[in-house]
Amino acid sequence: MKNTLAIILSSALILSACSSGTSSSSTAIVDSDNDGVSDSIDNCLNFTNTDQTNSDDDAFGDACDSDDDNDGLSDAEELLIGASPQRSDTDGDGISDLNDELPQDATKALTLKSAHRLLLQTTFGPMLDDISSVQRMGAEAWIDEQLNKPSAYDREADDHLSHLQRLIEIAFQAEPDTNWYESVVFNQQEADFSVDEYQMAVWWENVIGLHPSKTLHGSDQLRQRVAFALSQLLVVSTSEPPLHRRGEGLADYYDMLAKHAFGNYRDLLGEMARSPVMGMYLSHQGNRKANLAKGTTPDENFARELMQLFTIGLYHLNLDGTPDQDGNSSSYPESGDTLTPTYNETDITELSKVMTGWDLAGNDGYGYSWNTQGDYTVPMEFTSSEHEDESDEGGDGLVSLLGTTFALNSGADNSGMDAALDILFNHPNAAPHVSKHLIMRLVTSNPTPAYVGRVSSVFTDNGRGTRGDLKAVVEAILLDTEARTEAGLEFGKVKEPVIAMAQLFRLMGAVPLDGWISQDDVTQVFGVYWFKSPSEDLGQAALRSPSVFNFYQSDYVPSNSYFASRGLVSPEMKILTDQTLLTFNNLVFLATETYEKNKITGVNEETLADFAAENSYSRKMALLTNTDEAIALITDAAGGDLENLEKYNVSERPYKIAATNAVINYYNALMLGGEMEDTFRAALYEYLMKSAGTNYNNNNFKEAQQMAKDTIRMIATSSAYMVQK
Amino acid sequence: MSNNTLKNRRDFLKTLLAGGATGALGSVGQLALMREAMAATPAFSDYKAMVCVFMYGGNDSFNMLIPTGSDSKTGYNAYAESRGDLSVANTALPLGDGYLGRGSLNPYYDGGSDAAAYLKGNYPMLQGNGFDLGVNGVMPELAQLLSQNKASVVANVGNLVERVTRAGIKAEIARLPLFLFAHNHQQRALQTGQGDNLNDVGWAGRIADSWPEINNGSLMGLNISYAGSDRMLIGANSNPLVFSPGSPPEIYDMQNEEWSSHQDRIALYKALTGVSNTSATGDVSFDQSSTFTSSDPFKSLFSSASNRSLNIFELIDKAWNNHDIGYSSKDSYGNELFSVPSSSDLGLSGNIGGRLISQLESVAKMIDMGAKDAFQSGGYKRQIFMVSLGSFDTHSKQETEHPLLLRELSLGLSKFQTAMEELGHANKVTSFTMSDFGRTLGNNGDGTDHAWGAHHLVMGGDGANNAGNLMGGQMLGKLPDVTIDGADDYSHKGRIIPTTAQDQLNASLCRWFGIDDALMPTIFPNLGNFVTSSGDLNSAYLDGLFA
Repeated sequence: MKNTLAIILSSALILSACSSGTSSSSTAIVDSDNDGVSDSIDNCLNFTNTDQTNSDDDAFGDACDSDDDNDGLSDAEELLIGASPQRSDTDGDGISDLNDELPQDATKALTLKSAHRLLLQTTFGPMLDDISSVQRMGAEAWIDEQLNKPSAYDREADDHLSHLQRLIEIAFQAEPDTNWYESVVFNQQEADFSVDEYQMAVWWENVIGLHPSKTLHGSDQLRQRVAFALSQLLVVSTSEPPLHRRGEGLADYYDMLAKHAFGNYRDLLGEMARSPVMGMYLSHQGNRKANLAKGTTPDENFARELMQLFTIGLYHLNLDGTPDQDGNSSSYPESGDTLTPTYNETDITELSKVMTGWDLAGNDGYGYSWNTQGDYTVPMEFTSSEHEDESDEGGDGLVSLLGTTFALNSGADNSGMDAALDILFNHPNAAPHVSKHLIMRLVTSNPTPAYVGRVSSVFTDNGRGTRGDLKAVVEAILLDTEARTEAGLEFGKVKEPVIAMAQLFRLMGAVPLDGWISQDDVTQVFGVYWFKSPSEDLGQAALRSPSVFNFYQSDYVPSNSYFASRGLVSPEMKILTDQTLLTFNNLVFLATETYEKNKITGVNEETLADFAAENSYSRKMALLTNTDEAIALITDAAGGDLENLEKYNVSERPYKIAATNAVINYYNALMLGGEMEDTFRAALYEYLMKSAGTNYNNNNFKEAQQMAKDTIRMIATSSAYMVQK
Repeated sequence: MSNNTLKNRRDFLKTLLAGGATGALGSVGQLALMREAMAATPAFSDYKAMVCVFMYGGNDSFNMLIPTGSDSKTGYNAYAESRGDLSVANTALPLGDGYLGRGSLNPYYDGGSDAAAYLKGNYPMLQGNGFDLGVNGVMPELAQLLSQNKASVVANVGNLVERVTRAGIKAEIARLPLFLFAHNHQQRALQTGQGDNLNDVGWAGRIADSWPEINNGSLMGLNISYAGSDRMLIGANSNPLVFSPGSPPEIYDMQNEEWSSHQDRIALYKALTGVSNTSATGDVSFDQSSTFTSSDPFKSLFSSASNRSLNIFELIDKAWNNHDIGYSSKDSYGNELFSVPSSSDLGLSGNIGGRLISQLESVAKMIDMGAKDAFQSGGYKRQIFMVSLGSFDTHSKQETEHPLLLRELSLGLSKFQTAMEELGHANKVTSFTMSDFGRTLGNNGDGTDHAWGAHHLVMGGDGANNAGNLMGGQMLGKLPDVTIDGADDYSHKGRIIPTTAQDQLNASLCRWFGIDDALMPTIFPNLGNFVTSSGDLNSAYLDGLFA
């Protein structure tokens, strides 16, 4: 936005002030502007500037320079926004005026609105601390910090545990009498359903990021957010047995996504293809070469979805994600709507031959797949005797994929896997396929083709000749002008329900509820977030989609004339059904009321220990949120005494008014980035002011808690909160 | 109404939907215009419902209904040769009287092994009627339904734009559906009712669009899904209700009519979704000036959805709780009608999930409520339901996973049919199956891959085959050549080219449902491609599906 304005203003200045100085052709010393400096050395030919001041040391003196400090903002615009035309960083906060929304405030670079928005795109929910960090550092520096933040994958032995390490820790704590290592492999002989639930607990811990002692977990919010986005691209799910009992495999798979979230997509593809969880999910685990005597040919499942969903998609794309109709993915836009398929049935059968010979490590027999077989935490192993060699059909052992021929036994492991993955990874489609997916998950449902194109070109080449650099791709997505400048009507997305829930937990400071009762009905569990099957109420949960097509498809057009007539999509609305909208609302109630600390201890006057002991693993959730900050603000506004809220002899209720404003302001900033609209505020205000006194049995602490609770609940279930612009 | 009039109305609608009118008229004005344009909702006097059972993943119907004949191309030997170790035995199993509970002989039981039960044999129930097709042993209830003329089979149905042949495909001149063999696109095309259109709204959605006043304009609308928000029921201007099975949830803290705090919250909630509202107690009241309406399309999309959610459950919760159904009928095990049998009941080692059964239980109750107008619309006449069962994508472990799916399908259909009979709705309700596609006749070692044509089921009626009701006990369509590389193979893996279009089957159901000839081309635009008598749309329907 600033850029455009700057260009318009500066070109106007150049035209008026710095018009050509070459009209005079006299050989004598010429001083066109009579400022005592001859034209040959004058940095402003037509402006009298005897002092020749030139703040940015460019070719033009300040007098005729439209941008004295060369910071990308014109002098005129700098004056408009109150920044110094002569200093590129007016407030000296390290953020150049161009990137500084608050150029006169050395403590802030971004407005609350902008900082909040960035955090909606990059984390599982803005917290006040994060908002102020982003405001201080600016978008670029903050993203850079997140991209380089330590993770669980830098060193094996530190306090930052991987999802798998933490899952094992929780399993031992929650079920101490279970023999988790009956074999050398964790949970192998046990194959317990509860391990999937512990995996979910670890997911929440890393998403919420507020564990009181595991403080590093979830400190890498952007990495966790990108991992979740990748889990919706390289989909696996508990819906395929025995993954519903081998939760350690799921945790390890998620670790793989998180580890490579800022790595290279080709490396991720290589690990994904060899992952035991993917092998089980898309059934290339135990896949065998053709056997003509038995009339069998290789399983096509992984081959097909690897192409359709994980790499290239069904038809040729331009770099900008639109259909490629002229056979050149770098030239666009093109008219028409012809779709050219990327592969045919022969490519599928050829690729299915490659995907043979893989099996779980430590399996008792090739291809065994029941609960208690194999190791789900190490890559699958390759067995060449089960790998297709075309011996049965008398073939040459070569396959042709998308026009490229290679040997079925090529590569260091003789599996042909890497040759196949190289072809798919290097296909032009991979760039827009992956880029658009990540844009849609992080930023906006309907990115312009130009936005997709800019990110795709970074996928194609990160600027240093590397293809598939996800760190560069993520940075390009988040720093793109479309993500950072004012959002238009068609920009933005409805939040994924599970992310909306995570955001609520974060802003309410959710910590584990210490002392809930475990599976064995005896053990009290401490320090473990419990919310075991969120998809029941939210329509989604990590690694629990109904099929490999994820919770929603990216082309879901809601039944709404605005969207339908413009071909706009809103995938998340597919799972925000009549039912989940209501059950989400009820979860918000649980989070703001049932599991809210002040409600439990202050209103219900129950100890947290007693409350925890009533909660067992069979409950929907067990954690502890709080409204401490809001209640403190209400108390302050009430002059330090909550009884002032409803003093009947004070008819104007000044304390109640102040308290209502305080609680609205607080959650407006935290939940909506300060963007609550006036009518929204008016309605909320009216409710909080009128719904008073007797509604709370004249218990003023209850009143304060309910004011906070109702404010959070009504915001959290509103479109203002559920839509990310 | 002539086609022409209809087309003009559709065009008019498209103009409206293009957004030009949205701003000026607002949604209410737009709706009024829309209704004027489409004031064609028939005045039905009777109640009818269609129930789609969608099997996600691609059901292997060739192991659900086994060819038992002796023909060298379409018969059992050809099937067994193609299927190899995954073929179901051509052994006739005894069905008995259909009772499977304690003291009965379980015809498919084979040592408790799911795989052995799956492959053990079949019920040749249709042979008496001249059809060489047996029902998989794990589906005794389906066999019973077929023998009692309460269900029929439509052979080799699939997604087609027009009829195609192997020769035409090889010569690359056949008009094929878009992206054959890809799950999502095949589901989509079957649901748009056009093999060559992935972008249109659903065919049942178009019915809802065409009948805006159906059910007296009830908030319940025409379409209800227990299968998520999938394309079939979505219209350009109508949105299916999407529920989970079981008792509808009640919203916490915002429903009690006697509590003013609940009423106040509801009023606020409505004010924040743009609906002016006043609490029943009058404690808070929001006039238009203090309600929040956003010009942001995403926000108004979400607001209207959440407002509808609140209203719909307010309507349903009361009606649902006041509408008790105590079935006296039992299921095939002699248990409560909609109970889910345990694995020991079933004689299997695996469990059936029960998800389809619970969805059908909810549909049965919804139908009873609809037919009896429990929603007090004053005229509740038509409903389309969608339920689903997933995990049919049996690339691997087919012989242990598919039997459990077929077992649940058989039980679910039978329980639902029994419920409809007990409630007196059997002749008013027709159920039918759909699935992404069929599966390869060839096997991949322990499963089958994506293919095309498949057999499907239609269920309903009271078994008397009276005029106007489902004609049960028959097979419509044509059994395919099931040899690999045979006349009906797309290429060389036994991906069978369909001979009947799903659109033909669905259109035949819709004709029974009350779609008139003029509207039909709007609902199934490609139907005309399947006429056998030029220019006569009637020749595209499946003759004899209904008596």
